[in-house]
Amino acid sequence: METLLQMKNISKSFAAVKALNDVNFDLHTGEVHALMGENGAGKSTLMNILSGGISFFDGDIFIEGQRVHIKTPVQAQRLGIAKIHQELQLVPYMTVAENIYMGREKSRFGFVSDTWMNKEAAECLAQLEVNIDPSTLVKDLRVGEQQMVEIAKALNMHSKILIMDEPTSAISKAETGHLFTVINKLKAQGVGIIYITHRMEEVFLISDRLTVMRDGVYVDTVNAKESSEEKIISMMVGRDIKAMSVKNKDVLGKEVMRVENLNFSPKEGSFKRSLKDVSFTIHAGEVVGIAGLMGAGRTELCECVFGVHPKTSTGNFYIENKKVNLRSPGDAINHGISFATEDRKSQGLVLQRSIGENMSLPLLKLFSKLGFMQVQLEKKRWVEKIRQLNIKTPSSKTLAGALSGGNQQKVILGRWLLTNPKLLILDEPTRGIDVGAKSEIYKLIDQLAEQGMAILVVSSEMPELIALSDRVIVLCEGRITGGFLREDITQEKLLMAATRMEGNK
Amino acid sequence: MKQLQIKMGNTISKNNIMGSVKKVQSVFGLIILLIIASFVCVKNGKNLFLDWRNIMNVLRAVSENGIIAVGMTMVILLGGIDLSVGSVLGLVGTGSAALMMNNHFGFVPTIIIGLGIGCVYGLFNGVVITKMKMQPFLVTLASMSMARGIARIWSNGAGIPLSYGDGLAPVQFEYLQIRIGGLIPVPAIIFVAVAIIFSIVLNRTKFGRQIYAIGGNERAAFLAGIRVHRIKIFVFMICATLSALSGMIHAAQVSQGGPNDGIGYELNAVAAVCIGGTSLAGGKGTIAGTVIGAVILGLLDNIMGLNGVNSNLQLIVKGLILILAVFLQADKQRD
Repeated sequence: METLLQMKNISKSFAAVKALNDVNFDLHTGEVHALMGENGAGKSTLMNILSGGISFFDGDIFIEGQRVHIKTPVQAQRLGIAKIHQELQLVPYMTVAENIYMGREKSRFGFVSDTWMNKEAAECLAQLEVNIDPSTLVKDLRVGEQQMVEIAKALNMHSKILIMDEPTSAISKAETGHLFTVINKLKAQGVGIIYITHRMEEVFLISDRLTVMRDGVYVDTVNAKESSEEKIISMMVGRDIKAMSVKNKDVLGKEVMRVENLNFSPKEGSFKRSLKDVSFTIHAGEVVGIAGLMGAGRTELCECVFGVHPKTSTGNFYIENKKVNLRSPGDAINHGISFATEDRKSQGLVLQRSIGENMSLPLLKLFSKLGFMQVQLEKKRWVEKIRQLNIKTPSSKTLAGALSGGNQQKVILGRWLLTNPKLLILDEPTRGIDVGAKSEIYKLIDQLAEQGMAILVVSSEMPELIALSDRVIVLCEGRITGGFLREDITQEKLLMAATRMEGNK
Repeated sequence: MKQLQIKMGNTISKNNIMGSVKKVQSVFGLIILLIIASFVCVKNGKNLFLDWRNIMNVLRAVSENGIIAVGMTMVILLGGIDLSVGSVLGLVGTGSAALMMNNHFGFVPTIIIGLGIGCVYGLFNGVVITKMKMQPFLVTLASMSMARGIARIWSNGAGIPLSYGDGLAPVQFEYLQIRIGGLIPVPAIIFVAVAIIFSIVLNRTKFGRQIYAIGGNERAAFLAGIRVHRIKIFVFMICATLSALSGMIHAAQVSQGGPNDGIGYELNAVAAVCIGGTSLAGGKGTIAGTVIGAVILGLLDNIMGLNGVNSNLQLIVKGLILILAVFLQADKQRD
């Protein structure tokens, strides 16, 4: 195996913050090299430097022994570096082939030749053993398929170095399996792959070597075969922590919410999935998990309960046995329901405003008198939550956008805890956040349940759901296809229910 | 006045570091302009600029645009835009002149109806934008044309000259353009009052928080229980009502209600807002910045006017200054 890439003594500062300090990284041909670290460890910055997203930094980059200058994404592309983004970067209203050849369209007599591009793209996809018609519009593909298109695009540009940033965060188990087959194929062709993920089990499945970073500093590189999950976690956090929570549960409290015959049919053209006849109850002090594959309708279920889709959903909601109308998020909040969305940046926070203002959003009425904000009053509550949730920030006036993912999630939790809810809905509460913050959030969920709050948790990570929930409801294509109590939840059972198709119920 | 603005800037910027950097920048631009003005406007040993009367003239001249720009700031903070402000100014200017001269309305009814027209007009803009889910740019482009049409029908296409006295327009209306103590123009006082009121609204009230939240992240605001549509409609109503107020001041200042007045005012207002550091993407900006932006534009006019710069050339210079200001304030944080 020869060295494909070397990054030597890379340093980068943003204003006064040192994001990277003297980091070294190397990659061999035909190797999968996992890059690990908590959020804010500097992984993304390092990869941005490699893919030309950041043009000013200290240090040297060598590709196949040659010193190279990477100042723009185009230069990185020319050097054979491709990045598969966490959020896929395809144009939804163009075909698969057009996306693969974007910027490099083949033309005849000045006109783009679709026939040629479709034929070539089909070959390219066949190489990856993906069965997608190149003339389909990208918007009609599933996320896993879109990812394959991105990989096909990278290969088509003869990339030697492939950066994959959380490639499995949005795809199903089956698609993950397929992705791994493709990765192994690429390895055999001599492509070097840098693999970023928070999922420990994947790392040991797929990677050859592991590099751990912490707080912008290089910690160590180890062979995957000679390491273990615990070792890596302790390298990442710099201390030993227990990865999962253990809970002890006693009797159920009174019923907090009952949902009967919830039906949801999204508007034409919406990306939302429909729900059919969903009914469930949740009690005080109970943690109910919602399992299911991507597109099973989990987020839609949360949204309907929170009053987001009053016009397109029907069903009866009872809170503490009283029938309620939930026609808007405001209604839901007034009835003691809180909802921390899956996507913090696009649906949760106002990034250019302060942490405190973000926390106050649902409570503006409570914190104001005759329309004027009572800043002293709210500030007391902000400080209280910052302390309770251990949010790492210089002050409550810091802009929400300046925080790391884990701390942003805590700000959102702080916001909803301030409303003192009876029912707290958490959609993917630990997605994309680091191990340390994860375990804090698990602990918090346990604590809140103990204090009598009802908590509904959606998660794609089965071990997480199993560890947290007293009961798990499984959704598949908008229907409930299974319900399991704590003592008999297993990953196999959940998966069976989650993949049960319509008809064989 | 100058000191007042800088003081306002300080109190507001305390909780917004980015904002203060930008505000300092526009204050800086203002100071440079003032220095330039004090030196280049000297003729025959006499400083034409540093003259109380001239400075008050500048303030009087920026008032109409400034009042509109305050409303525009709030619309732009929401991520919207209101192109109808100039026509609403023309409509209400014409309408109030017609009411007083043709229908012999008194002062108070005229003011109430004038502001009411603005209110209803903003309600129309806001409702169409939110309930029919249409782009503010298109809706207000359409309503800009409609307001102009209504104004021309109302006055049969001709200007309605104002004269005061018995059987004519009420004398109080003339107060909208007089100078107190022969020096301080009433429009400038109204402008400053409007700016202070809405600065407080944005910074100290629940409504202000809601505007910033919607402009910064509409989805997050909605999911936090904020009634997004209601707030948006209300902001469009404020903007149109301030345009109406400006329209009546305009009519008083030019002593006529002209159905063709206010053409291009929407651009001046947007320019003042942008020079003042408010982001067209929404969520970021202050009234203090807008006040400075409006004054900068007024100073440019004044300096070039005093030096006899060709008026067409003035337009070009103003355009270049706008580009420069927006370039200097662009968010360069993102590498």
